[in-house]
Amino acid sequence: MLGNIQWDKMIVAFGETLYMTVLAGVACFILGLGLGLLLYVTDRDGLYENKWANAVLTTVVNLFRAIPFIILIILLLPFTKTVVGTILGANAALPALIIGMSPFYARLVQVALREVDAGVIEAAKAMGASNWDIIWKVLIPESKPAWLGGLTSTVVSLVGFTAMAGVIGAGGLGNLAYLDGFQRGFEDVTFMATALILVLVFSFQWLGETVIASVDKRTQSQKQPQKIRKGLAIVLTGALALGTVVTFASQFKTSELETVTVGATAVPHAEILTAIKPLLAEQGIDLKIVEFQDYVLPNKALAAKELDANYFQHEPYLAQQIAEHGYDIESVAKIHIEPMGGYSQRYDDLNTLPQNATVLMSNAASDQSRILALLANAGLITLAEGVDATSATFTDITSNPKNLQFKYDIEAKLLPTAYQNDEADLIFINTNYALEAGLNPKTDSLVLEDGDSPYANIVVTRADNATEAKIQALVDALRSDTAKQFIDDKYQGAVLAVD
Amino acid sequence: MIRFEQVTKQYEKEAQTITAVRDVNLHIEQGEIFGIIGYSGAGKSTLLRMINGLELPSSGKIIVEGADVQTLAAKSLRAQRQKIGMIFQHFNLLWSRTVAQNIALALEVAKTPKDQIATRVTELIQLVGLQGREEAYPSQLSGGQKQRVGIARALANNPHILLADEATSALDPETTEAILALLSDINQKLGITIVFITHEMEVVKKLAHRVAVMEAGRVVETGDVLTIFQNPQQAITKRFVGEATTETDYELTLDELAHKYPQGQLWTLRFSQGEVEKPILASAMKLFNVDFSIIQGSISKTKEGAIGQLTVLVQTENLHDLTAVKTYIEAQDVKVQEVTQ
Ligand SMILES: Nc1ncnc2c1ncn2[C@@H]1O[C@H](COP(=O)(O)OP(=O)(O)OP(=O)(O)O)[C@@H](O)[C@H]1O
Ligand SMILES: [Mg+2]
Repeated sequence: MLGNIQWDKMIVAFGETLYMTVLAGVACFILGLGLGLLLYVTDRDGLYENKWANAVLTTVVNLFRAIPFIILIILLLPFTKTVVGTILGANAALPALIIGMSPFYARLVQVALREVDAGVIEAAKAMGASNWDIIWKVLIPESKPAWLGGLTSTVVSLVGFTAMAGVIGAGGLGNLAYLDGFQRGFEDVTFMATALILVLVFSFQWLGETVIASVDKRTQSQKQPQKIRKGLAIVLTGALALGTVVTFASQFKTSELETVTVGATAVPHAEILTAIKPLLAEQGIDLKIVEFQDYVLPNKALAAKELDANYFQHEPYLAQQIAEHGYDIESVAKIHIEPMGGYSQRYDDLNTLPQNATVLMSNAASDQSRILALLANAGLITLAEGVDATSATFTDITSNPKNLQFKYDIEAKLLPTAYQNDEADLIFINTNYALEAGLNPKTDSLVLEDGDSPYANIVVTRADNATEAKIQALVDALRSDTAKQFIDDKYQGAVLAVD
Repeated sequence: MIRFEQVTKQYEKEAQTITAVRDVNLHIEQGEIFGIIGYSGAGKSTLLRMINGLELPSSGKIIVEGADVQTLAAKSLRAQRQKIGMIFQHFNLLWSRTVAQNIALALEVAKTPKDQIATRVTELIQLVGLQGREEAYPSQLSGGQKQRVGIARALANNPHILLADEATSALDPETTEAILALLSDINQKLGITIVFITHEMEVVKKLAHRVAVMEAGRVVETGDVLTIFQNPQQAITKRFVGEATTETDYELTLDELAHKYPQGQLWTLRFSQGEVEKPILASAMKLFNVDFSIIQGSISKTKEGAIGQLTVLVQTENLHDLTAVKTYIEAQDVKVQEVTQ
């Protein structure tokens, strides 16, 4: 039942989530407390009443609280790069976590301080206390249960936010649940990662409550936590601290081996890379795989020299990214293709298609270009001079001898259903959907893309490291028989190795 | 010691001006216990809080121990406040600190060296009679005990002045007695000037040497407690004095009696210290042909001595005797007031 769980990965992810939560929690505590105090003392009738300062602080706090976390991560990338030195990994998630959550905590601190009995503050003033004394000896201690409660909520929210930080390869349980659990369909991984997240959340919640109960002397029936609970709390704190420190240390662990760091999307790229890890290890090369959830950061990180290579895209996309961002990066090898194929319930061969045959395809423009190129390649239509699989449109058709009737207004994922309902003479289906419909692309298709397609997935490097030996070794490994065997066994035709 | 000169305090609130204290002139002597009485909203707290600069006057001057409170720099004001203790109706203790730590706070604020704090705290705990409760938190104390902590804290830095804002209003009568006794004791032992606020004449009677009566921001009457009790001038003062001698209780009876004995007269006799013990009525009955029926009487103890009040029904055959009796009694320094029928 738990067969898909790789426990070493799970433990590392747990450590990463803990590490991000604890470090960000500590920073949020310090920043939020300071900011909350400033909000409080500059407020009306405050110790340092200052209308303007208060208005500015309030605006800043509200602003940062209003920015969705995921956008904050992206906006902060340049800042993160300068401060942390990388835009990848758990450390790179910290600035966004801290800047995102500190204002939230600051508000809670402000509310906590407002609850301090005005009479007690007056008593302190009457004693001749300085503002400094009032803050440290009265305000902070007297609002302790409230701001500790706020801190607990903040830390619990942070656990949730670390999951979103997976976008920038920060790792952690949320990311594992998404990449390994959801994207690969391993429900046991999702389940276990979620369970561990809950363990963390409940641990922090319980620790918070224990600490609050032991400092709160406000009611007569001071129900002090029992010794055993206090003992447990100390042990738990120790364990969490240890986990944090160990992960912290591993953040700075440098491998003895030469490493090649490759950015990839989870399926199938990261899986294929994992399969060839041993091959590279034999050559003394440690392959580090950084998984991404999006398609923009892998190129950005490669250009910024945080990656040695990436493996997630095809040529047309690379060309467009280079055009947009001016990256000095290039393709070094085609590895695999997730081929587009044409299927039919009525005919076995393209050549037997009748006049006026109906051809159904997805409504995505790039898919249509691919399909037109495929049909032209098979000789069914002719395209205008100079157009190819990246650019062809229906108006580029110069001859259509069979007078094929194109229908292209359907969502790609509905194509298998259309096939099952036998809705056209020829239906083009992306391989992943074809597999879902129980089709075997290799044997069932009338026509299938091959490695010549510009939609083959490529390994990309920078111009400056394209010729390095370790890149060559990576490419060789990806094109080795081991890799091909793995691809055939694992994907059963949904992914084809390029020869 | 403390001098108010033409002090007015106004609050601006939403384009509206509230005058909390108006043209107050007061002089509070060193070592005395000075009460301020008035109904809610009269401006008592505002007046008191101007002594330690928690409020500043809108106009006028407050001179405390020779220093004009308003012109003190922040630092000297804080130093000054350390020499003015203050206690509150709701005690205003820190729940997060034990009894000992609450008292220590005042010492920490005054930068007392650590090693001296513990000794001083022990002394203060003894002074207010809280031995054995040092490590308790305020939530574990009774109201009276909390106020004792408040008093200890207020006395921590050996103040010259102690301000008390309704210090016993939240306490039951017995605890009030005990706290008032403690304050009296402190005044006697340590010679600290005490200024307190109350809206109960009972408290004034038991604690104060002198009293100021406030109404709508003004001090309408000032004097030593005996004089005020015997001879209240202002309507509001009479009301307070009346409350303290529970006048309302027998107003009905007076009406009834007046009805029953139309030939008699009702007199209220006010005795002050000394006369209470003299057998004035007995000798009057011997000397003149009159009968006294005592209807109501009370003796109140003030700080300076006892004062008494007696309502009697005077009956005589000869109306001329009444004038003579009255003159006789008044010659003994007892005030006679005819109750109008
Ligand atoms: N900070 C303030 N802002 C505005 N008005 C105030 C303020 N403090 C007091 N006042 C007003 O000044 C007047 C006198 O208030 P003060 O508290 O001195 O009365 P008090 O005699 O102490 O009454 P109580 O017996 O209810 O404590 C009241 O009308 C009150 O509403
Ligand atoms: Mg008041």
